[in-house]
Amino acid sequence: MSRFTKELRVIPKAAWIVAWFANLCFTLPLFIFVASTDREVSKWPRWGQALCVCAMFLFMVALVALIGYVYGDAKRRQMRYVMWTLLAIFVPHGIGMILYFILRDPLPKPCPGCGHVEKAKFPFCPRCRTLLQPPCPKCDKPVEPTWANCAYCGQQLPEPATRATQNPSVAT
Amino acid sequence: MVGATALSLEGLVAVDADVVRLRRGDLNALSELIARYQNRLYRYLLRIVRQPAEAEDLFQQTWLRVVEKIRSFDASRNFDAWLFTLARNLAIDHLRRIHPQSLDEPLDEPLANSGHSETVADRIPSKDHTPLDHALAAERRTEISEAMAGLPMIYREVLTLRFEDEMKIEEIAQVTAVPVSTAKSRLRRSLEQLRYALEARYPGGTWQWH
Amino acid sequence: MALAMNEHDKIRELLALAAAGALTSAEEEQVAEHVRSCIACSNELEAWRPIASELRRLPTPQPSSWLVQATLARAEAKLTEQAEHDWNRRVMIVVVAFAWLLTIANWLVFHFVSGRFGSLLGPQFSHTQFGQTWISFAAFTALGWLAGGVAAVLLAIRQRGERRLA
Repeated sequence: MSRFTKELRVIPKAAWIVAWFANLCFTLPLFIFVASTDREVSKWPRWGQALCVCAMFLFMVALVALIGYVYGDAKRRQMRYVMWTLLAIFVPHGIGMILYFILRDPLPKPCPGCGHVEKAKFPFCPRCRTLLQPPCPKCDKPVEPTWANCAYCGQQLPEPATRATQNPSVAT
Repeated sequence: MVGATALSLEGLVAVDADVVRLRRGDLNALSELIARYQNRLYRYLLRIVRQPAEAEDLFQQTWLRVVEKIRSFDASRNFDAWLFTLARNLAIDHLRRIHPQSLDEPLDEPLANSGHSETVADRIPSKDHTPLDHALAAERRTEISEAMAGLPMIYREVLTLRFEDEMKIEEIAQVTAVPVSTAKSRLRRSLEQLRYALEARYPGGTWQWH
Repeated sequence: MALAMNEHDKIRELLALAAAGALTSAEEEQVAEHVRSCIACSNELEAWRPIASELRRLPTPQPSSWLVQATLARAEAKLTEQAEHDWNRRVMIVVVAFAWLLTIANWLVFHFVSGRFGSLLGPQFSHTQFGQTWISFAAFTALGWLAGGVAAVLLAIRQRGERRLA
């Protein structure tokens, strides 16, 4: 399964239903009332009009799907998903969506001890105290797994816990 | 010994397959590549920087660099040469920053860690059979690696690429970014300096005959 | 005589490389032929052989057992980081392109609705002229960006406030 199809599943099923509904409410009336009454548009060839309708239809689906993606993605990243969805809808010209993709939090991994999902940056699990990502041993700040030395205090870092051999150690 | 010398033909084909997989983000391809090159790469870095701790650090940095740049690597090129070139550049930058004088001049006294282990010596196929021969052989190897550690970096490098990695002269020229003629003359001069160092330090005549 | 001396010197230079196996087949033939007749060079070649053979048989230094594991862990983290980065970049391009589409679509709808609405009020408000359309489009876009900018600033203030608490 490609990355794209994987991400598509983030969109809630309800969004697709809303997309159909929105098309019924907006695209169809637009076509019926505008195409038949407007002088300029009715001069266009039939296939031109059909293409236009298809484009509007797809556009509407894409718009609703994108908003639905913001909703689902913000939810799984433990962000304020209601706020972000509203921003994506109402901030004009799609800037709300752009802001979301710039500012979104990284994807959190489930805790290997209890499966609870909390925001990505925390080193400990709030339910079972498992050490998720060891912080710097000297200054306790969160460190990236690719770092060889702590970027805050310069302390040399030991090897990061590998995926296969990760032993959840209970912190005292 | 896995990965002690240059790869066989089937090894090379496997590497190309791994590179393609790595470009698509396959994590297992990466671990296979690391396993294939771990001994050679570490040995090469160790010969250049002569300190095991620094060689280990550079080993990690090299592979991180590989991950960074694998997309821009032209898959038709030789992965061997590219990997060693990356490692070489990192090692030289490191030496320039930390030990700027060690790049060109030979050392007067050998370093504490020449980076060899005696346990491995037994596994190398040898024509010597008696324990005395073994001991003599081990001693000769110690002498050679100490003498080698005292050479300038570019000489150590060409010696290890030729004798330990068994790279052809053309590949050596590619990795060290010099013309083939320069690589050849470097190899010759490095051998001459090595022999001179050996004859000077161990004048008992061990190196005059086998 | 002078010729033979030159050849002798040349071969002598090649002897070390011969022991290293770094000569072309033509050069190797030259050396083999010369060595058959010249004892000095033959001895020289034999003197190089032990050095070459010991260099080939140097023990391979072993890295620590954790080195490969640590490298693999870090490289894997980097790989996923890069994959994420590439994917996010692609997503951003698509979203920005879509945002432009949305702007144009909004503009068309706005233009159309205001035209219709205007024509209800009076004929002078319906379909504006071509030159004015671009200006009003630019104004429409700019206003939207202004609203977006305000939202961005508010968000940034909020996020900074949250980070200071954390």
